[in-house]
Amino acid sequence: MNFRDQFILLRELTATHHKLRDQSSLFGFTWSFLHPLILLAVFYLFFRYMAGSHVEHYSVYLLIGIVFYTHFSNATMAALHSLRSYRDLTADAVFPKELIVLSWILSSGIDFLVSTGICLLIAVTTGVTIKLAWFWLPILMIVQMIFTSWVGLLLSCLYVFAWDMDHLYEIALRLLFFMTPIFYIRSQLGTGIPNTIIRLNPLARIIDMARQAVLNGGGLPLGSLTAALILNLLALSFAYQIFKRLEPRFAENV
Amino acid sequence: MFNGNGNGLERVRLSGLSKNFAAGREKTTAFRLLHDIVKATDPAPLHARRVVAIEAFSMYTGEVLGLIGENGAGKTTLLKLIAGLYAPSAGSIQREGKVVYFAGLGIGMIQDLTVRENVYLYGAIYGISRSRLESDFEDMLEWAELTDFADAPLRHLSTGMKTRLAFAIATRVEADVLLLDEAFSAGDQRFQNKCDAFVWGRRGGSSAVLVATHNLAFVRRYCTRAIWLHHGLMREEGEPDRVVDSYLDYSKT
Repeated sequence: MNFRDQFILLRELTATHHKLRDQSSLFGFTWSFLHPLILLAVFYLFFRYMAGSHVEHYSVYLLIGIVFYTHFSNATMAALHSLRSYRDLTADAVFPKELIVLSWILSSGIDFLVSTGICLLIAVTTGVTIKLAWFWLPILMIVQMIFTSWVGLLLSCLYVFAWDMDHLYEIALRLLFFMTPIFYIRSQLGTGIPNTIIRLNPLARIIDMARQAVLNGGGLPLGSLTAALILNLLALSFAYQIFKRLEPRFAENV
Repeated sequence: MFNGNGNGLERVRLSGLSKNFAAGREKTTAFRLLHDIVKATDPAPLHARRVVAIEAFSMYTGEVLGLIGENGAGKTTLLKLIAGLYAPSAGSIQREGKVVYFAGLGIGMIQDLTVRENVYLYGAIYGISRSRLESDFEDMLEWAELTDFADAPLRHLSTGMKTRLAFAIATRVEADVLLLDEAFSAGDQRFQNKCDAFVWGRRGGSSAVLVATHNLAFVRRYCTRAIWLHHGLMREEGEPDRVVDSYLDYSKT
């Protein structure tokens, strides 16, 4: 299958996910944005006075965290299930199977784009001034997409072989939620082990930079951003090689 | 990469090929997977069951090969090995050009999408160009007698209609190696004739075709060469009438 055919298939698969989802619920996209909004409401209600006193525009602070976390969680969970949910194609059709995984990543990426747009809209309406630094957001979103792609590629092939991977990953996502400063502030944790964990958490770093761009303005630490981009690209190439090495064993195990 | 054999170009070459499956395969857990990786153990060879073992075999352009044998003889496994969907346990498979495998008609179609959406999705899965699908769209629907159903969901169609639609799209496939697994042997007589005509049209063409089938009359009439697979081994290979006769003789005993 040549590159052009692969691109067309990727587009068709991505469009299919959207068509199916929009059919299955009356609200279509609204439905997928409802979950982050409910989270936002709950956390805003309960943590406004605890964490909110330390941050200006706590609701936007919260929303950025929720949007980035929700995207990561939805995209990687969909990627994990992708080869199994398209078992027929995985087992019986001849084309590069990463297209199945990437179509889910792309499909979640579209939601991510819209969510971020809504997030900025809310920011403006709650009094955050529009800044030049917002132009950093697309780059951060690309880093996040590369991040979800490599995690998704690895998870999708692990789930072909290990049947309990989805349960394990659900637990991991729950842990990640609390190990990422979504509703609290990192400085509240002191300098112990929790703080170190968060420093090593790639999602926390991306969210941190996104908040810096949206709320504080000013330039982003170029060094960290470049490092994040390079490390994620390296991880992606590593994950892709593992995926391709395991691909010939998908059909008999899926 | 390959030389011709006088008939056509060599598209597929198997040598020393064998495929084992782990018998009584169990569901693996993440812990066990990790354990196997750390200990570098592969549980498969311990209780392996050999499914296919073929010393040497080639496919050439212009050929239509009939693959016959009892259920469980390894026909599907062989097709999936050639397609690259299974990795061989030993030996090598070399392929040249685009390989298309049809495990059945309609695999990859989605019930909740419309006929039109399915045409483009199904076509894309099998690598049919978008322009071809667009230009042939009306013809395909007309042939499948679905002109009034272009925007109806696929689930509203009968099984026969779906099969006709899938076939109409599948015949647009351009492949150097075409592998058909009983795919085109469903449906009524009129449909069957169309399928036979499709395969007949591939004889002497630019692709190499391999059809796994239980339809021995089909093999006699349309195939240029036949292979009888028995317990994973190539029992006989060559002129279709002779191979089918041997297979029938064996089946009587």
